[in-house]
Amino acid sequence: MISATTAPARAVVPDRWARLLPWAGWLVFAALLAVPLVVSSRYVVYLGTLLALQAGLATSLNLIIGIAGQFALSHAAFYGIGAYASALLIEHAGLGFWASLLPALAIAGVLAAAIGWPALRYTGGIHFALITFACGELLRLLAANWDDLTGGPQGKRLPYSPEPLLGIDFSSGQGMYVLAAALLLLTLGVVAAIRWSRFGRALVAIREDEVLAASLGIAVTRNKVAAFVASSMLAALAGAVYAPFAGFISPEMMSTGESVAMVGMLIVGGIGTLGGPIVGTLIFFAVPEFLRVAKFYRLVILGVVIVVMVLFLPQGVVGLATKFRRRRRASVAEAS
Amino acid sequence: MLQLDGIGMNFGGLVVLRDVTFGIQAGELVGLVGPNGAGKTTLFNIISGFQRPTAGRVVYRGETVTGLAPHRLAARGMVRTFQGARVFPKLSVRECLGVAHHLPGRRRDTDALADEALAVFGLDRFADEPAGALPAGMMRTLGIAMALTTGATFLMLDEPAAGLSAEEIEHLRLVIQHAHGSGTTLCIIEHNLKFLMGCVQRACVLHAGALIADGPPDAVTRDPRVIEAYLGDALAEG
Repeated sequence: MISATTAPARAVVPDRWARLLPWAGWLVFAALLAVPLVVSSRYVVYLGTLLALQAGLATSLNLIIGIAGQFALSHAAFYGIGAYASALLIEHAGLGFWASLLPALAIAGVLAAAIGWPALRYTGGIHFALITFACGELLRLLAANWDDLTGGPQGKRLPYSPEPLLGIDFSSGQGMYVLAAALLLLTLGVVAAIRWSRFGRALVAIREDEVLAASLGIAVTRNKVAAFVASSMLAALAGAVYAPFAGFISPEMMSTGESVAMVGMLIVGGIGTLGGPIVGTLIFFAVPEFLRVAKFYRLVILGVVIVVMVLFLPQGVVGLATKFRRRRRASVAEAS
Repeated sequence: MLQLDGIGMNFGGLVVLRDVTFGIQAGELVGLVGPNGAGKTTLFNIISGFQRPTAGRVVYRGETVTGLAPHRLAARGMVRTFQGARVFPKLSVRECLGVAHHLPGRRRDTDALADEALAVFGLDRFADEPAGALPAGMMRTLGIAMALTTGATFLMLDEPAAGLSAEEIEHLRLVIQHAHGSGTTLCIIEHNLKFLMGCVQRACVLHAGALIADGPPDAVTRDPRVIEAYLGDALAEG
């Protein structure tokens, strides 16, 4: 036993109420998830489905950016890859919706590995951001210009809906909502499981200090590529679900602007936290939607919100809540 | 355990290391000294796989490992620390130790191992503090504790005592003796000669990229070449 010769650390007394804060947040989330099931207004169900898909997308982006610390700008492109791959497999290979998911995910996974492996061998991040940006644009242009296969820049109408499963009819609005909510919960589950696994601890170590992580035995490149592949495959899954929901896909959904907007959602909600992407999505989509502001102004609002957040709340909304919790604990500790 | 065979390194025309050859036996506690710019850290980088030498080879446990990636060497039990205190500043001390226990194949319960390391190194009072908020000495200790919780059997410390107070250096000495006592082989780069010579069994002296002396601390400090190259100033300063 070696004893320290320095002053003891300040004792940390947990505050019961502050500890309940995240649970309250998840409770609100559960209540929100249930709303489109109870309120059958078509508008509410539509908005709920859209938000669930977007929140799932932001959650999966958080895996590579928030947890692994690698700045990917290709997330929207993989969202589109998933949508196009699933739709084209259904149209040309005669697969059902569920059967199309696995090959669509495999395509996205192989593509992500092919892009990630050379891009993530370099440290520093800017290479990866630039390469994913370029590859994302390349994929978008491919979708826009391969008219015979993708229908070109005008996009593609999709007449199908997923076949009934577990007694749920997915041709109805509420059926699609259930599917979107399931996707969000699945994504959350996968990301949470990764975060608290050996793999997730390695990713956090890589995010904090790659060189130190390597010296402690963590295979830096391999872990980063694995995170990028997992994150991109989850995006593709969201895209595959989005396709029958919207009934229409176009190369526009793959634009880098969309990827950047998702990064904005992470920043606002709280990058690297589990609930952050959901909070960010709600703020980004729900607030302008309820204010009935046109899509064009949403990006303007988004920009202003991001600037304000970066200046005053760099840890995002969820980060602020965590900070509040810590401060409560500290003040309790001082008082005792 | 470790054998360096004619290691040479140059960056362009600048020769940093020339024909460095020496070995470290299992269980040894070796000091690597030399004036600034002698090439000590470069030698560490080469041994631990962060740089590939331009000449020579590194043999570790009978296997040529020259240029092998750092994480593969760590998996073989060779771990180094860095100058200054390199920890994950935003993670808590406990989380840092959990990360260090990442290596595949070591399946023991991470929490139990982290708790053990916390107790052994006197870090338990800081367990939930962010590592970046630790006092300098404890941060240095945490760096060593992290290296050891990977299961390292050959540990290389790069200037562990630099900038520490006398008290902290005393604690560091205990940490090093504990590691050595539990069977770890150590190689330590250090500028603080009083600390190092009181600590190690053998010292190797690098000067301008070449090995000029190798032997027990008191013999090395009497070597005229060493005195000329390095110790002259250091001893004069006290």
